[in-house]
Amino acid sequence: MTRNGTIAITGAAGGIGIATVRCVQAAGLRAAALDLNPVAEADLSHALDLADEEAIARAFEAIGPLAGLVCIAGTNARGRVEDLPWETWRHVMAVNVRGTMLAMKHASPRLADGASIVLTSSVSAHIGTDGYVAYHTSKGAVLGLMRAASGEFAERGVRVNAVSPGWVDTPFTDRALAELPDGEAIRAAAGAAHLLGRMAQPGEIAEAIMFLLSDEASFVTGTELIVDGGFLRKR
Amino acid sequence: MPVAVITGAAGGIGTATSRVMAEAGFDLALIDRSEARPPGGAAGLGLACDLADPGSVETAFSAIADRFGAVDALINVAGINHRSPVAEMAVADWDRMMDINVGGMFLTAKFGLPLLERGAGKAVVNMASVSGHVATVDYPAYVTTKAAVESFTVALAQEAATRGIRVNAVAPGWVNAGFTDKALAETDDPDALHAAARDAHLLGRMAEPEEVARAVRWLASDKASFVTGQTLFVDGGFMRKH
Repeated sequence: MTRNGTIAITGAAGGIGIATVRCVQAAGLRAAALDLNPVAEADLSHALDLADEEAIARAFEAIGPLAGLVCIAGTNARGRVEDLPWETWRHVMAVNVRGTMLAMKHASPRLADGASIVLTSSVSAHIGTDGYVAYHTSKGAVLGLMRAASGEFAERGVRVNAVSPGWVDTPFTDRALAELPDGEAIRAAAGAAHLLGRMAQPGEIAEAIMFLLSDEASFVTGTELIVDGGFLRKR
Repeated sequence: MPVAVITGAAGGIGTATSRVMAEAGFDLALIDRSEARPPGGAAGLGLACDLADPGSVETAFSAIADRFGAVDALINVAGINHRSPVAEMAVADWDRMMDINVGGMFLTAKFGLPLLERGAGKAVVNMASVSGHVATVDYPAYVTTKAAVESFTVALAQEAATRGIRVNAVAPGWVNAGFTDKALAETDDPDALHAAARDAHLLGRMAEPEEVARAVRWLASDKASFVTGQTLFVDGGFMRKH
């Protein structure tokens, strides 16, 4: 990654997204936001649906040369295999997996040699929570996409990695909990599910993204950085 | 100033780690078989220590306690290699590998945790390897110890979390260091293996020791405040390519 330039960030309006915008700017880089919602703090903001390839293509054309790409955009939906509507499944996969792939596709010709791509998976790729079959599946798919793309982009010296958070204190988490009758009890228990005894703050995920974007991680590619406060290690 | 304890400080990764930690403003306590010196005029303490000897490790940490009072980062780089298939392995060689590569981390943690508890940084970083995940022909002891390093990292992360201490590992692929040169020199065709080793990474080259050291530094920093019990691969895509 160059020490100046633009970082494109999908899902920039969310909790992790905004934290990443701020870290990118603090590092002296320009933040280009791609999100359903406009992001006033970003240097460039494109409001679009990541299910819409034409809109993605137009946005990346407008943004221009890139030093990096961060794909954070993701959506969640409740549902088990036996009752999840097909359209809900397709929407989660369209945003979380296809949207990530399309962002890479249209960022690709604009990424400088030595640029870095960071995708967002989740501890959900490693465990199963009953009732979120589409989300779990999509986050596993992001890891497959990361590994596949890392080989392709390595030819240009572009690194591709993923961060996998555990619970993060964001509106995304608030919305998921609000849908549940016992959401507040689950929130109270969520901290204790991590070795560190708390959820992550969004800035802690953003710092891991910044590491993977930076030259500090010059030999890190094709790998997953789990930023979960020991969630997966706790039983 | 924060204090970093680095074992295996005289080796390639150890020297690079000493340098990048000094750059980040750490005082150094450097442990190796013979006394290691801080790089480039950095302040610090060099300690000769046998990591297979509990008394020697305890003495080293007493000296660190006397000099600094607290430790912010414990970085376990020390590791040895031994080339021998299982069928021909001398038990003493096997034991030595386990003692240094795994037992050494146990001992530095045992005597270092009280000092880490008094420090502000509260981070342990252990040197694992892709060899903990893939077998390298004729190096069963190394492969075994490096898998054990990751298991120990998880176990220590669990135990130390209640004290606010994070514990992680870094897993390099091939690193352009004396350790690698020595291992390759023992083989029949070092040059061919050297070329093959480069090609084994997506990035088409070995890591420079500094690249591993910078990942260590990140894990030891507050920027990794929510990372514990993990292994960070710094392998240029070795595992992905395998």
